[in-house]
Amino acid sequence: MLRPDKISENGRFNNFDNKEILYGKKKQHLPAMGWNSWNAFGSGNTEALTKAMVDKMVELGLDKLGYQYVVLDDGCYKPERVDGKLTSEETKFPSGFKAISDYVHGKGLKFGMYNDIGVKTCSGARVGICGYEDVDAKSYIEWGVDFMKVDNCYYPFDNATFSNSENAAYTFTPNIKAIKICGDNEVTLSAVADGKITGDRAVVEGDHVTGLGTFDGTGPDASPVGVRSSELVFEYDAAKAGEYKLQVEYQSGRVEGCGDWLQLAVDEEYFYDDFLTEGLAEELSDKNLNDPDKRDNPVDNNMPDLDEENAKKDAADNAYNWSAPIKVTLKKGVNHIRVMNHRRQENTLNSYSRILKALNDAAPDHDIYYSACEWGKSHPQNWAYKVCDCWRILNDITFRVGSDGDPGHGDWKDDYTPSVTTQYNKAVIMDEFAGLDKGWNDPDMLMVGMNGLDETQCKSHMTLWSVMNSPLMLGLDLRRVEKGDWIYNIIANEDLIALNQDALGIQAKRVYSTLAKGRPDKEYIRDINRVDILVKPLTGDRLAITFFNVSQEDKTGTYKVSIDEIKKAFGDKIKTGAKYSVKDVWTKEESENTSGVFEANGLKACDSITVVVTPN
Amino acid sequence: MKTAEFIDYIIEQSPASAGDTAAFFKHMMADNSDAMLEQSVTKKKAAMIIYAFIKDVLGLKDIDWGVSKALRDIYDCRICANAIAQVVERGILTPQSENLFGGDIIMNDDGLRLAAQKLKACII
Repeated sequence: MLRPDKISENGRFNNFDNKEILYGKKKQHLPAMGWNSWNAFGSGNTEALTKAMVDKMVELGLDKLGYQYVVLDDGCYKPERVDGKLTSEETKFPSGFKAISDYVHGKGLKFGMYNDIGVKTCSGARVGICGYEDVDAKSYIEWGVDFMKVDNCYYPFDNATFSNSENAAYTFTPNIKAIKICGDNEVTLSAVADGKITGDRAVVEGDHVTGLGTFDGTGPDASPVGVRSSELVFEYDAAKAGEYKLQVEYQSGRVEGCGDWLQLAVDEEYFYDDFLTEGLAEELSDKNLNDPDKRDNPVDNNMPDLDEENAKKDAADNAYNWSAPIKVTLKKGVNHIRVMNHRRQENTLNSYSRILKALNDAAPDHDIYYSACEWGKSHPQNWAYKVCDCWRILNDITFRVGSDGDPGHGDWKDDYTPSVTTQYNKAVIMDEFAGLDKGWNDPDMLMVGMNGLDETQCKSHMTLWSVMNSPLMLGLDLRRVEKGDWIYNIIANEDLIALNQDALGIQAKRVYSTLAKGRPDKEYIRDINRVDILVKPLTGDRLAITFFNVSQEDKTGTYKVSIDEIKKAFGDKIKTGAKYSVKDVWTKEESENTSGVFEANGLKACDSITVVVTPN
Repeated sequence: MKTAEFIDYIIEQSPASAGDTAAFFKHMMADNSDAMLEQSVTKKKAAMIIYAFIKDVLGLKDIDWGVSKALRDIYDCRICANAIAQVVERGILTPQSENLFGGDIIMNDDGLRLAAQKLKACII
């Protein structure tokens, strides 16, 4: 049966902030640089295309500039396992994965592959790693994998992409009306009158509290900053220490916001962590394993909107029940009884951990760069540092990937996630989560070279990804690139790459925005009609300053930042001088600044200026 | 009609003037296991099959996303989002509503035959 693991102490929400790294995951990795097949060729990548890309990486000297990983994304596997193992799709990769891995290594590069924590990959191939961690880890080690990108489709313990929408039952508590504490006396506490909601995911609705779980971070609506989940906490002053029985008055559901899984803790001690409805675990396991594409459902039930509307109505019609008594231990005095569900984050961390553990078991000394591609759904910035090197922050940057002969399409702006600015808007306020001791926010792969983005936009895209310490994964058909052409000049800008790969490993901080009200580094601003200024401390007491016109209109103003303002943002990391050497990473112009005020006079639409400043 | 039958049907309906269908067939066999070929055809699967035909056989360039951008569930399918957009923009498959494609709806034979006929209309 598919069932979420029992969560150990070090995988608990309570310990997300404890800085503890799990399973000996090696840290101190700079952002990864390389090429990934998805944006370039989608699921149509082949052995021949990959070899051509490897050859071009060497011919263009990209390997010398730091691009080292060559990653086979989705679409490379035979759609079903063979004797329980992963194999290559023979028409696309006739020589197998070891052969292509050897080819990559033979050229001095590193080899990466893709899988998924669910039962299938996003392309629908029934080769997801869920339940096969040990078997697949051995295969990956055999093939000489240096990089793993792991996706989140068909995940059985959440309502992820393609997953059964009823899996929301795992990740939210039911609606809660009251709790009853039975000791020498019986005390009933109202969720609304007596409970306190933490965070802002949960709300009071009439006579009950709903939404006890974690925001879904896949889309651009939810800010990444702050606590992204809610608990319902009751303060109870116990007359004496001892064992009590606690019941919860609940209304079960299977939709985002109202589930069936309850976590009950008193302060830091857990007393319950499971479904409340008997048989639900078996029912959902059966659906996730045997019908992940929901094909046995009658047609009407496959209408997503109707499903959710009907499910919400059904949930509203469900009766409130009292749970079976849960034994809890209370101390004399004030106890904080926590009604909550952190399983969205805990289950996902656990699933990514299982893969790491299996890879470690298969090859303890082999360091694999580990990229979590769960699209920000469970706010990985809170937990992924424990097991991964980078974590996607949103759904994809493009849904119009290329193919052989078609460069694909990227957008500067979009209401949802597929655009440079949507990804940038979120990543730019996530610098607090990044670092050499943690890992990197990942606003998805580069779209440089796709239709839909002009040279200026590609230049800014590359610039912002570089200074935000994003992984720099090229996603174009490199056969279209020649040394000296505009695409080459962007992806091969050594001064820019040096910012991304700077040994201090500090993501740029937004220190100013024309639309910020008070905290430019924390405010989630989605209106792109603005100019931002970012600063990134570098080794050698230097710093990089980027002036970025996010909008699609020319801006004629003067935008400035002083060294004193920068010091306020960074403190001791910033050294001042009597004068400053300034070098523009694009024009290569060098100048001297004696005022300590750095400015940009006017910025073209979508354009950016980046300078490296050295105090003298 | 199961997936394999729909693939065969599209090929059968394709006139010689459309182009060689061998690459399309090979693509379909590479992307679908035996079990997948036996499955009924959801709307999103139909979109992927039809789009593969548009690219592999007809060699048509993508159309810009217009009305497709309003489909809330299009982004639920990274592997088929563009396929859905291309068949919707060309009028080959109709969204369930103004802002929902309905990718998980299983298509009946009449719906699949109609889609194949509309695909034929794209053949110049």
